Amino acid sequence: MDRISELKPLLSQVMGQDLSQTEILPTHRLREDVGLNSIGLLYMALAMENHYHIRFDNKDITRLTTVADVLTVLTEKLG
Amino acid sequence: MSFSWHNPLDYLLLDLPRLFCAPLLLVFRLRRLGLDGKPWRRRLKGGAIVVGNHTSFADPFVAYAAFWYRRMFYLAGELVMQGRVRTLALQKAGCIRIDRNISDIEAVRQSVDVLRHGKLLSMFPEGAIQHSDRVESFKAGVILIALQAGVPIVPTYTRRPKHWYNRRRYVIGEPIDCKTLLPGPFPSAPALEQAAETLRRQMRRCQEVFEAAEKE
Repeated sequence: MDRISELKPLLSQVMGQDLSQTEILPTHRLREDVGLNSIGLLYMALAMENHYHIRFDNKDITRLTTVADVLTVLTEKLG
Repeated sequence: MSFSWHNPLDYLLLDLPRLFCAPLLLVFRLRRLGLDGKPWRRRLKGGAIVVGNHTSFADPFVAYAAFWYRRMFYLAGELVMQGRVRTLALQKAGCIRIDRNISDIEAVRQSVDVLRHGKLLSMFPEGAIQHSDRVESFKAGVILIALQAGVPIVPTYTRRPKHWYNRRRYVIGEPIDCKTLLPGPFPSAPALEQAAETLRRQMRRCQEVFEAAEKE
């Protein structure tokens, strides 16, 4: 399963809506296209920390603008 | 936060500002009221978030005075914590820096740590000093922190008295377990925002009690 498919259930939980049928592309912007606000972004980061057993810092969070950024940071963290 | 749970010196430094603030008890002559309008004589135990309306720079000191018997930490905005020396001094006094321009995950983590150690955390979820008596909308981060730490939220309300020497009233609401405000074990971000709105309404109740007491 690719990483975006893995992220979809997390995003669905955070946003409170089913995104399984929604196309999410790496180029999608988290705020404008996906619809995450600042609390949503924070919540998603905490959910990813729990899911992947990783730890984000503020520098990582400020880098998260698009879905591709999330994938990049995740890849870095997971090695 | 440069606070170590294992360093006695850090506890001493945390207590020093409380000692310096002790004379404020005489200045504020705080009358703590419950939601029934009667004097609030209970004592908060364990970790909890004390949320208040924010109308002046004195508010953190009022919260200090209201819960003088407890060590209290504060969430302080990036504008307050500027400069190395000032930031270090405030951190030692129990302030946790939160940058309101980003989704500050480190401040959330530090806040949760403080609460899990059974301490009080004071914060002003309106996000900034308000220049009206209205309780403005809350940032949902307060709910997120409470949920992560598993602690109740205590709404409070106070307002600057007409003259500095007037007695100040401080209304303390019932502690709220935020799980009761949220649906399910993993609520969505919009649900957090709705819970923040419910919390704001609880603070509005404190405001009503405050205003009724002022009229008496």
